[in-house]
Amino acid sequence: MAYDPKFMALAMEAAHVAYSSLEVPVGCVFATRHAEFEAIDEILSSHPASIFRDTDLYVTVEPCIMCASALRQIGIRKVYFGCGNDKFGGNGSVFDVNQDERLLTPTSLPYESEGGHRREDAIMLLRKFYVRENNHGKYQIHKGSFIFKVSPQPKKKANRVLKTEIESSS
Amino acid sequence: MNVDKSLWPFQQVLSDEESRDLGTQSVYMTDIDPKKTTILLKFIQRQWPQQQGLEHCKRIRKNILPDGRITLSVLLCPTSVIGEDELERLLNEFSVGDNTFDRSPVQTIPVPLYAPLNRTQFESCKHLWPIIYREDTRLDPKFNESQINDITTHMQALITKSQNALSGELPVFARVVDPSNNRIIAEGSDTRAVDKHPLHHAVMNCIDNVALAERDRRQSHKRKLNETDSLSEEDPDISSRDSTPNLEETVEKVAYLCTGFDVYITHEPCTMCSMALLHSRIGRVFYHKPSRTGALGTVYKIHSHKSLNHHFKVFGKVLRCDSSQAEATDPYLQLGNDGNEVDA
Repeated sequence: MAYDPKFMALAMEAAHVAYSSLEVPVGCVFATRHAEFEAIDEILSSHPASIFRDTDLYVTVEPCIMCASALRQIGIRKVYFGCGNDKFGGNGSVFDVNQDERLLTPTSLPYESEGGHRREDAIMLLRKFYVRENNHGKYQIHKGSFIFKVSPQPKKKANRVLKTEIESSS
Repeated sequence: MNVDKSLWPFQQVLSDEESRDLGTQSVYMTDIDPKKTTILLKFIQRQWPQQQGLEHCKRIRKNILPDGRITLSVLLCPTSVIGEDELERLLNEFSVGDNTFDRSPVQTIPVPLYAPLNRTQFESCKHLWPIIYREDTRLDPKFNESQINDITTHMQALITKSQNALSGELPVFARVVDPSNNRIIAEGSDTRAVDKHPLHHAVMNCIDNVALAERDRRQSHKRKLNETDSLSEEDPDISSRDSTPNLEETVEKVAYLCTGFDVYITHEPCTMCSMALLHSRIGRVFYHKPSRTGALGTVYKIHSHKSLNHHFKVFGKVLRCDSSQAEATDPYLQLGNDGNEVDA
């Protein structure tokens, strides 16, 4: 199935929801848990794992190395993402987890991945998130959350200015 | 007393930079009368103000000839910077008047391409050319006998569990330990089959259990605080008897789930699990058996990758005899019935 802008719009909508609830605005993140993991658990609660063979993932930011590996091990068909993830990206930015031949096992086949869909929107949303002053509760601990991050001393970000120009992807 | 590295029942999984062959690069060199050294150094400084990738090489080597005379060999620049004829011409052009110096014809010699980061690398390259190397043993991991015993005990316990694993599940086990007091924080085993969930690997389950343990600890602390509040009205000294560490202090210390903790694993973790350990800021990893698709040494070295924002030490082959026969008969994880290879 080819790229469908409808689905990326939904992912973007979910990212906006996360942004409005002071969370990292990526795909369908509602907690600090990585977007992909939340979604995978939800699907597996009502479907067999084989459903992923016929499933494409639309996500606003390139999956991190952990999620890229998870997607490969559940057997995702294809991933469409918005902007790349220079620091943690597992679909080409840091490692090519989705295509790396060395990771091949019968339960971990390579999958295709295609970035650049609504890239600018995804970048701007992340920038807005990081510019916004961190005024969350002091200790943010979510039940069963994966990352379990707390910010002991919220950093002042008053001097940060939202950058609006976006370099073209290389 | 620290146990010598050669006696550890495991091996450190070094980064590529620490374990690589340093390689060689071709460099021009000339022999010169020691009295004329400053002139030649002036020439080098003028031609190549930057060091051109020779920062780890000493500029000058002292040679004592059989007859007792001393000459100096001086590195000029890598051969990639300039042609030999052009270099000879520049040297001759410079060597006039007060700057006149005698030298041997320019020679090409190999020097190490990269700077050595440890003694092994230093020993392997020092015969080529004098190298600048300051050993910083403060960064080296150290273990005393009692720590080695603790490590051995934890790993042995996991191996025993692994040998008695439920049929149908992969025999992978993980345990998170606080090394400051050797307390077991949480354990996890592989539950992919029973949960019908392809991502319920031992390490992922173990990290989830650390989160649950931490939540319980916070709740029981809160309860204690409440009890203390009600009691303290009767006995003002009660608060000093509470040995539970102050919650705020612990949170300051433990900004992430596994900061400062060790994890023991029967198998080298896959890419997902290795990255999960990085995300939770694990302190050190000890694993028993390398995996073909492992990401802490075999396929990737996630623990020492430059662009990732947390680095940690990894020790592999803990309590594992390093025989090729053992590797051959048990090369990777096999899934119970169909014998298919899977990730750890």
